[in-house]
Order: sequence, then structure tokens, then C-alpha cells
Amino acid sequence: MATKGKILIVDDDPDFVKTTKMILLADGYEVVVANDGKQGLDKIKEVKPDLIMLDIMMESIFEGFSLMSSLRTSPDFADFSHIPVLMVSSVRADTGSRFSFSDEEDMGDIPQPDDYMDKPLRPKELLEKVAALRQRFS
Amino acid sequence: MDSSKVLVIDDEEIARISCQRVLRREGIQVTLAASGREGLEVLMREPHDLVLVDLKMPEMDGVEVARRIQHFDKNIVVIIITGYATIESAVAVMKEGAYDYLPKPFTPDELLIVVRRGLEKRRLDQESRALREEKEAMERNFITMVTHQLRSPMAAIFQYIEVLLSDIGGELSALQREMLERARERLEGLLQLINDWLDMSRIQAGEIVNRLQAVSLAACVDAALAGLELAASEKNVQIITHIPPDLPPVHADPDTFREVLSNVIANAIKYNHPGGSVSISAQQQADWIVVQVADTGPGIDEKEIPFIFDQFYRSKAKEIRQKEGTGLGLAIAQKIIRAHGGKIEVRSRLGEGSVFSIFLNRAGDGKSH
Repeated sequence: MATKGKILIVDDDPDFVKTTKMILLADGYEVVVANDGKQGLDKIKEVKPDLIMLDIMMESIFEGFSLMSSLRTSPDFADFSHIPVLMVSSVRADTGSRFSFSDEEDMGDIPQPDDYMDKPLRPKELLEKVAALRQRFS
Repeated sequence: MDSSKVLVIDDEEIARISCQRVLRREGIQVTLAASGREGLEVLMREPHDLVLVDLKMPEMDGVEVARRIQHFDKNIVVIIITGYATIESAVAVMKEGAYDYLPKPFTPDELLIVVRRGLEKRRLDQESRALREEKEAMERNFITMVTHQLRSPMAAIFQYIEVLLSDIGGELSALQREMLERARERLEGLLQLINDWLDMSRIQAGEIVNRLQAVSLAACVDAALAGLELAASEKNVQIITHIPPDLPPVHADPDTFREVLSNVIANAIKYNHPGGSVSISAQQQADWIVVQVADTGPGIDEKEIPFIFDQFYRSKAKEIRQKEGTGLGLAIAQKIIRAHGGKIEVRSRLGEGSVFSIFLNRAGDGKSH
């Protein structure tokens, strides 16, 4: 049976991965999982997902951002740079700017994700957001 | 004290050499300079812990040298060497920040006592500075730790409950559903507490002041209401807004001000009777723009009114206690509004509902562009 699309979850929290995967599977998506940024980059090349769900805070705070950066700017990923990225984090957005951690200056040229969600994800909201992103980028 | 470095500035060679001899015996590193200018040059090149400077020197006197050292690095301990005739000048220099003075002629022991005490002060200053820096770093890290280490597992638990409640893990019995819904409610309360707590520690008055600008009140109210429609309709609470179209803009930081409005209106919905109403109005009063949020809820006991803006204070009333709440919402609101240079007040009587009034400066009154 044809699926609604292939989604890559890049996250180091196995419980979060498990529940997110169940939500997506139940709605008819195919799901691939990577547990860290490096594995994430490998999987992107391997399975060419239709959408990437990326955790901001993995092993190091900036692992998510560095994956973003490679995906969008590295010549190695020229064929994949258009894949939409939904960034996810349990670090609640600071008032005003979503990605300002402590020093906004440091965040300068990092490519921005296409959308953002705070953990915990509600199934309905997640599916709406994923569907909207899929439509925007199809 | 072994590696302490002392600079001796004196135009008399004998004085310099004898200071050096005494201090070296104690393992202190000593540098000598024959004039104020030379001494200052030495300090620029390499850091010293303490400077002994003679008051009476040709060219640049000790007063001026001490002043320049203070200006260059106020953490360097300065001790003035002075003859009895000029003690008054030495005291005047101490008023400007020099640490001590040493009257001539002095014995080796007198020199050592004063220098040791000065070096001890230097060491304590450095230690307390290091401790202060460490404490500040810990406070910053603590916030990051709470955000990530505490929120992550709770988010994982929350998501399990969400998945179960959406029947993805199989169908639930009515009792199981009810229990999970209750668990979710409690967890939401806990997440809210952490968020509020973080907000409380993050709000920096200075940052809000920097972001103050002319803001349309109606737009802020609309933005705040956008997130509350569901809560209002679920409770069948009617929201009535009356903001005069010709109301001048307020002097506010849009993000935090919207948060305050959202918080106060959310309370008015949450602590209301089903089928009740919330009226949001605004008017100009002398120097202020006043926003009022009036509800038809149970009202607040007169005795409790002085405390409701306190951190972690929650009403004793049963209607309030039944609802999840952190006791921080109004404390945050007050902190934000005070940083705006405004104030927040409440008028209420038991059984007659409550009116919260937020007073803000009009944009363009002096401070804004």
C-alpha cells in the first residue's frame, strides 16, 4: 500500500521516538529513525525522506543545528537540501525569538527550519503540521 | 603568597632597594620603578597584585600615580608611602580608593604587616569575584538544566498519555480513559509550573525597557484572545471587548505585554461561572492608558486581595482550589507590568466578580521615540 510519505525522525530520546512513530504510523506514514545527527545525515542519503523531524537538543545543544546546516549548505547534500525540516524541542521558545538560546549573536547564519513544534506533541497538532508541510513542499 | 607580585615606585633608590630586600625575603616578587611614569609603564606590561608608591616624587606625584592606577585597574591594591608631614594627602588618596598608607620611616616589620594585609585583601577580592562568577554561571546553567532535564522526561510521559488517549495503542475503557485524562491534567499543571517558574527567572526588567515601543492595544488584545477562544467556548463564557478606536498607542513590549493580557484574560475565563462573561475595556486616564478585564466569577475575599500578586499564593476558596494553578501567573504579570513602568490592580468582592486594571504609559510621553 502506498504510504502518505516517508518521515525521518532524528532524536536521541527513545520514548519520544516511539510515541511519535506510533502517531505517524497510525496516520499512514512510513517512518525511519536516526538516534543522532550523524546517523541522521546517513539516513537522509540512504532513504531520501519526504520530511525530517529534527530534535534541537541531542548530545550537544547544536547537533540539530549542525545537521540543518549540512543539509542546507553542503554540496554533498545538494540533492536533499529542499527536504522540509520540522524542528522539535522541549526547550520552550523564549519570548520573541524562537531560537535565541542565551546569545542571539551566535545564532547568526544558521539556516532556519521550515516549522517548529514544542514537545510534548499532541497527535492532532503533529499530524496537521506534517500534512501542511508536505503540501507546502510537494 | 609566594607568587604575589609587588611594584615599588619611589624616586629614592635606598628606599626602593630596602623595600625590595625585605619583601624578597618573604618570597614576594618585587619590581622597582624610579618614577610614576616608569611604574605605570611596568603595570601596563605586566600585571601586579600590589603597588607601593611614594607620595612625594618630582614630575608625577604619588597622588596622581595612585589615581591613574585606580583608573587602569581598580583591583590593584595601592599603598601610599608618606612622610608624617603629608599624612593628610595620603588619607585623601585613600578616600579615592587607595587601600592603606605607610608613614616613613618604617621598620621592615611595619612594611611587611601592611603589605601582607594588602595582599590578603587582594586574594579575598579575587576569591569573592571568582565565587560570584561561579554562582552566576550556576544560575544560568540551572535554568538550562531545568528546561531540558526536567521538561524532556515529562514531555515523553505526556506524549505516551496523548498516544494512549488517541486510541493509537488500542481502545480504552471509560475508566482507563478517565484516569489517563486526570493524569494528563496533573502533568499539564506541572509543566505549567515549570514554564511559569522559568518565565519568572527570565524576565529581566532591563530587557523589557529596551523593547518598549508604541503598540496598538487593540492588536495586543486580539492576539491574546486568539489563544483563548477554545477555553472560552468550552466553558460557554462570552467575551466582550470594548476598546475605543481612537485610543492612543501604549508604551509596551508587545511580547511580554501580550503574555500579561493573555494571563489575566485566561484567569477571568478559568475562574468564571459557566455561562458567565468577560468584559475587556480600555480608556485614557490622565497619564495612563487603562485596560480593564472584568469577570462574573466568584470574586475574591477582601482578606486575600493583598496577597494575590505574591509568588505561589493561591486563593483558599474552594472554586479556585479545584482548578490547576501554579500561583505564579499574577506574580509574573505584575513583574512584567512594573518593568513597563506601569501597575496592575484588582477590585473585587466575594460574589460580585473581579476587575483587573492594567495601567500603562501612553506611547510618546517622553520616554519613547
